[in-house]
Amino acid sequence: MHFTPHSESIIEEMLKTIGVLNFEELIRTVPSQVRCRENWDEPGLKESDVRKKYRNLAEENEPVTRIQSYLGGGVYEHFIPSVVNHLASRPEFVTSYTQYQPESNQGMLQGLFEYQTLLCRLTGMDVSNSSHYDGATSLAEAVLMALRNKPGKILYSKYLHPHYTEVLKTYLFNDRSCLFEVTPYEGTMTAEAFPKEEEISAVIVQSPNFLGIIEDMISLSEWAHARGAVLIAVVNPVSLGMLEAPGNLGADMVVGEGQPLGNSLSFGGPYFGFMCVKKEWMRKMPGRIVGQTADKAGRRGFVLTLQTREQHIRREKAVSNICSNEALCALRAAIYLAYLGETGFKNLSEECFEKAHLLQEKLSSIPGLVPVYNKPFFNEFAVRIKHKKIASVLSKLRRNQIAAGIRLNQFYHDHANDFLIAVTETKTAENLDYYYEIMKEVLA
Amino acid sequence: MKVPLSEQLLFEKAASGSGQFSAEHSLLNREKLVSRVPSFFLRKNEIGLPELSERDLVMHYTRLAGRMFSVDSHFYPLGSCTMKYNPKISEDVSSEEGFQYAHPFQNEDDVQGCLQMMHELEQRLNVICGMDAFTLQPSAGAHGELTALLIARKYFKDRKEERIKVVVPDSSHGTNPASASLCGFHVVTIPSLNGEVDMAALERECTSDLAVFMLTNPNTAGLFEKNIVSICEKVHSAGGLTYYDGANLNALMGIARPGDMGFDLLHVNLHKTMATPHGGGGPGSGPVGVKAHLVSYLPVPFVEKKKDDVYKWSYKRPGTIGMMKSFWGNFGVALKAAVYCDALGFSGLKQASLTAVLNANYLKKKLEDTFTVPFNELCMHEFVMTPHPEKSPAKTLDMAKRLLDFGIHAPTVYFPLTVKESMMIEPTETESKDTLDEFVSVMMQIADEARNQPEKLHDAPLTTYRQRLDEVRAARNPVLKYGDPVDPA
Ligand SMILES: Cc1ncc(COP(=O)(O)O)c(C=O)c1O
Repeated sequence: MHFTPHSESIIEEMLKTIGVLNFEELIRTVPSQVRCRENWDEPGLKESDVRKKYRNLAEENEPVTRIQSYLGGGVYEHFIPSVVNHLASRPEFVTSYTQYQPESNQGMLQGLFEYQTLLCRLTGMDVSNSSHYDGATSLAEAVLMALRNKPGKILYSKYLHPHYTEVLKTYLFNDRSCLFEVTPYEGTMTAEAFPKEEEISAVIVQSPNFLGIIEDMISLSEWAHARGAVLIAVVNPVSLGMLEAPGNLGADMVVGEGQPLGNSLSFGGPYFGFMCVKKEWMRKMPGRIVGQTADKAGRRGFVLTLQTREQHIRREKAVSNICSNEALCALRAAIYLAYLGETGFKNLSEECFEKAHLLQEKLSSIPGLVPVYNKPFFNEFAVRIKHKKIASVLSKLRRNQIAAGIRLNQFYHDHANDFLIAVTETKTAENLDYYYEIMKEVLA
Repeated sequence: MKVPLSEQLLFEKAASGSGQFSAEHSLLNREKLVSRVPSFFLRKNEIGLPELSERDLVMHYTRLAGRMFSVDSHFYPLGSCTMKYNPKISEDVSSEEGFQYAHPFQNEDDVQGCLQMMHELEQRLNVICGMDAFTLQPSAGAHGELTALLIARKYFKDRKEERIKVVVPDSSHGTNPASASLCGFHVVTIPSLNGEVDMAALERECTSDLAVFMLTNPNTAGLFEKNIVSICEKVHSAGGLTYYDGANLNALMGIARPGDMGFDLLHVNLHKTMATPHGGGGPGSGPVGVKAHLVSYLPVPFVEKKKDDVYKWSYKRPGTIGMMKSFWGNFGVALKAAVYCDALGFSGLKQASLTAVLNANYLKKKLEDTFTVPFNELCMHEFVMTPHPEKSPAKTLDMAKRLLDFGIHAPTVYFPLTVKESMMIEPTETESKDTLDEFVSVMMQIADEARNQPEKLHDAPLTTYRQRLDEVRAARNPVLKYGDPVDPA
């Protein structure tokens, strides 16, 4: 296949117009010293052969839709309504780019303005950008924002998503000494474990945390504010259908992974990070922001705004280097939220919560399996296998078509026999019973 | 005054109570549910999500889609962004269930197809760029720049060399200096000479504290840096590393490889060169490639091919800078790029680059009498021009807006910063001669209007859904969500 349109004779004509004899002369400014010597003859595949090749590759996978998956760990299998796929796949959105000429891109600009509004409402914050790369990178940039404002320690829990911790360490390569990992008390962050003498820049609270436990954000934000530090909340947006908005619990910045809002799993991406802040951070936050204005005729319209924060204007003095973001994934989230609506979204949230609790209660009745912590959780919880080898338990479940959860030993050496179970609305009562029955059998 | 239905925001649509999601209510028991968590954890107020019928939702977004210029519907010669046609087959492949529903934490056995694709794409990029290893983790070009600069930092730290300076030409993209300072480097900008790197200026900066020299080639003026080999040699002999910003790789596939020019590190924008769609701003993907001496610094994990064609995650990169994002990269974007590469083959990729150069030079030739082309030699895949003081006397901004009236997206304007009133035109290889000819005749008409009816340009655009928008007002009175107070005009 190829996508270049010209016939031989058109090419001849164009070369002639340019005033060169052939392609060789056309690229004469490329010194021969660096010209490709490799053999570039490999022809492309026919479209039908490309499809075949990738269908076969796709068949090498066992997608979660063909098994019963209880995998979460920051990204979740939710049902995506057809209408979301159809609207977000419209080529007018898909094949456009950043809105440098707003008059020709009002559709996406309005869509992103609505996205910003929806995210502010969900998180209880004043200002949202129009997306970041993912949850981990938006956290890293929120931390940089906090550090620029006030140097000091960045406190985070051992149960902050381990990838987020890793990315934070990468971004803070220059000075990791500001990072302070707090040892949780029975799974949650408590101020007792915080350093007493140090200057504090920010407290990061992920809630639900990596083990699914809901953290006490209010008391942590009070602690932070009493020390002139900011509270950065990391949240699962779906939990906010049911749980209090972090903006009402004292958060100064709210970030997180947007995937659960209508974006498919797609083996890790593309997803989007959201970032919402209180008004005073508006001019310090990274990323594109859409604002409302008026056109020459006085009609409402939308543009990219507050651009003096950004790299194309400020270069090395910009607040961030981000240019391309994840706009389409954010648009998808907006469509998804608008489709579910107030009632549907709350139902979704509660259903995830309820089903997770049903499964946790059932499993807890099995001898040899205990919850790691007995703390309030949303849709994810950690359990411990006693007396049996966890690897063989999980592979037996897998042989019964259940991806039972994520092993925690890959992140924590003191969780060798533990794994993390996530439940979403995609699981039926029968699925939960089946999980329970198989687990009982395996542990018997 | 009531906003007409067609112009309403989601929040202005009234139809409440038509939320479509139906939970399995048999399982839900609100009282029991609420008893499971302390009440202070629970939401007390409404969220404020709109409730629309599915039909109204479809109408809303379909109308929004109708207010868009896009590659599928318009010529989009946005320089430096490579707005080429995005093959439909990539959309179909990436929506295969086996890819869409692969969870990033699944066991390796369950995701062999994903791992194989990632491994093969990395190999393919090695060949295209002349590098030794790639990571697919970075989410976009700028994220790739940051990745590469972090690698450079760690490399010099391990060698116990105190190198704090990153040098960029004044024609460089804003992300280059921004990435460098995000990474803690001191940024020095050097001037250009006739659109290319000023060798004397570079020489002066080749000091013992030089860490990295960043360059895109062809550069942002669309010119191939003729001194590229000696540029890389100079930087290397000062002990620095050379970084290739791959935004303009679309000019070079099968023609010249950054690795052979002497670059140590680079990023590729898959959303440009490899024809993955730009998504109204993203997602993109910015894989980073390195030469052998830097491989051990790449992010982890990476995919390793083992015996019997089994693919495994590996963390064996002792010098690694760590993870750049959660999970493994924008897999879905990488997948589309892999499909594109297979569909074209190396021969098709080369043909794409040659045709991109052909189209750009054709446009340049046709326009150079009426507009000012500051660098008068053959260009690569794009070129820069400005309005001519007599033949097309107007502001670039006005010309850009007037183009919209003809259903053509504006070029990149006011970049590179080295050329005042610049218009950067990148037609890409997928555009037919007819499309190019129409663009030329529209530009001629606009030049004519600039001479004879300048008000037409000042007032443009008139045919778009909205006329010229007041950006100053937007910044002065930020209204960033529905309900923020709007100052009276
Ligand atoms: C020359 C150049 N470098 C870097 C970038 C940044 O790439 P991205 O937007 O993918 O972050 C761009 C994007 O427009 C560019 O044109």
